[in-house]
Amino acid sequence: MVEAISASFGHIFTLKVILMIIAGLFGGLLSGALPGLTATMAVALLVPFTFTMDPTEGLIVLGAIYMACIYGGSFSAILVNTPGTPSSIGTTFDGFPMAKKGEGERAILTATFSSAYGGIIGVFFLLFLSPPLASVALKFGPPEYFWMAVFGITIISSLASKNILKGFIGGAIGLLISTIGIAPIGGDVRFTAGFPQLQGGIELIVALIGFFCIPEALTMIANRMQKFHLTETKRQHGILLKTFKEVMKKQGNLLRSSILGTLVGILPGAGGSVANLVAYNEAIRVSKHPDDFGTGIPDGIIATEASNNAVVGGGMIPLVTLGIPGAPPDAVLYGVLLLHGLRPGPELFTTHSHVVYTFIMSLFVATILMIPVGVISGRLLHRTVVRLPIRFLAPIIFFLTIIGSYSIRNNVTDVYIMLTLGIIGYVLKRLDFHPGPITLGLILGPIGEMGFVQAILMGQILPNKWMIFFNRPLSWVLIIMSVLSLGWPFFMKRIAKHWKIKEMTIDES
Amino acid sequence: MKADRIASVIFILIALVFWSRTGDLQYNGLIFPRLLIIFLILLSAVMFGQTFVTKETKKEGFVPKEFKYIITSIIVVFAWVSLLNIAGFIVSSVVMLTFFTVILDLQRPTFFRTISSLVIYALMVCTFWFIFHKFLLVPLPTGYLI
Repeated sequence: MVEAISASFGHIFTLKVILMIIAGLFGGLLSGALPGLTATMAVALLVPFTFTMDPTEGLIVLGAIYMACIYGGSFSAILVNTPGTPSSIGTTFDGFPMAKKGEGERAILTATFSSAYGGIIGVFFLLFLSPPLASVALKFGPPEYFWMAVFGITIISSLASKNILKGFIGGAIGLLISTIGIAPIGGDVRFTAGFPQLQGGIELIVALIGFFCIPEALTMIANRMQKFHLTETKRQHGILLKTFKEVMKKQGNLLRSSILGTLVGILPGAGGSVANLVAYNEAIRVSKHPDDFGTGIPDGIIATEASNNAVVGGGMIPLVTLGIPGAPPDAVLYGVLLLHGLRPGPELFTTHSHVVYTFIMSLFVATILMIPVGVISGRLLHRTVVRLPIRFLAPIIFFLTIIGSYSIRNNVTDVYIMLTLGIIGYVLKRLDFHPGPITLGLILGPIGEMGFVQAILMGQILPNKWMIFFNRPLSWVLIIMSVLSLGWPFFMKRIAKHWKIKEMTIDES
Repeated sequence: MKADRIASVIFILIALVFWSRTGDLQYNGLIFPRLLIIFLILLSAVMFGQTFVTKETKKEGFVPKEFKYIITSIIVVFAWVSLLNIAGFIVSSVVMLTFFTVILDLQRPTFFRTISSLVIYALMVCTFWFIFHKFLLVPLPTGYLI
């Protein structure tokens, strides 16, 4: 292994490969920052460009694009309150309030350092702990996937702590929207109102753009008298080093979120969209100041960005060890490996160790190079958005939403669906419904339904079919986690109240 | 509070419409949506009840400021999407983007300002079109024009 790693460095550290990585990073950042262009789409679109390269170089470029795309989603999340990819949903919660306060540059730098940290941890796990972690993924059956979705839903109690009831209603609406289309088991056509275009269901990205982008653009229009969307603050000297030190001080948050991201990434079907919200929830739970989350603090960005980039390495663990893609972009990489005559699976590390280790080490190099590339692009984008008047910014956002939602399935119907959901999202926003729980419901709906129905089918052999949900140890771990996650905000409120009463009695006495 | 009350009733009605559409489905296809519908109805009923208990705190009305601009923007965007397959991606986008900017402009639109917006948007849209359509081979809406 050590030999293979040292040999891989010789392959990576050539001018040609370094330039290819940088080009891939810029391409990935651009795709990630544009709402609608996901990491899967970016990797898939650029696959044909790698045909002329040798397999290792092709994989290096695609790996760099994937890593940068996940990070690039934070740019639009911070600057226009719209996650560029589903992996950055959580970044909007604190990133945008920071940008609103005039701390956009600090927020972008925080995202950059956290993403790089998470990426490195994910690659570290991929390099050293692949086989044991891959075996954990195999223990996840349908009941565990169902409980994982339930655990995901309980995150709402933290996301919408100001109005938990509205959060759960939003989550239920998202879950219900996710059931539109053909049922995953049985193939029934559901809730399409006779529109054949809806049989494929409502695309997550379309809903994401609708619920986040359109309400934000309409809010901008409502505030058009302000002329600018974000306030420009005086440039701070030494902000780069200051933010770096500030982020590195949060080792607990960084490490916890990165490990969570890696673990969620290993589970096929979950991915960065789930990981960033789980990490955000855990950051709130562990924090001494949970009420500050959502007001614009770096801890929220650190949690989401470290976790979503750790998913890149985590998702590749089942891919390279078992031949099972952990996340959708990994499925594209699986295809690329096959195209180049490499069969992912246990023998990949032995038969093509030079390719695998070069690829893994290139991800490491790409993550490091992501810092200068991200800092340059992020600052440039921040300055552009800050200086662009609303009369230009709002139409450009609409333009990007149209391209983004159209390019997913090359279908104008998706654009109409996106606009309709956007208007619904705006009305819900006016009624204090946060878009986070709705999109969380949309993400977890298919995972939850598949797990639920498959588990019921599995339970047919038991005397009571419902017992399938409670007779596996891993299910109990997830049930306990769900109960803890659901009850934590109430518990913390009680504790805070108790301490307040105690303080008041001390003061009075 | 009044808006919440109306919203909770609408959610219950939507849930009932969804329930009515589950009649013809097989067990595997209906079990999960029905559970969600029950969940949504229960939560909406709680919200409805809460509106009678909780005191009204929100001062800002439901109708936003600059309401007419929001409605106009929505109409413009829908018109833009309808035009995509008629006038083509480049023409419809450049025209509608410029129109949008003129509407949102705080100053009285002048010929020079409008033309400069048109030129900026033409350059931007053509760059996007070239990158997506020609370079990455991503299909974009096509119409009778470009």
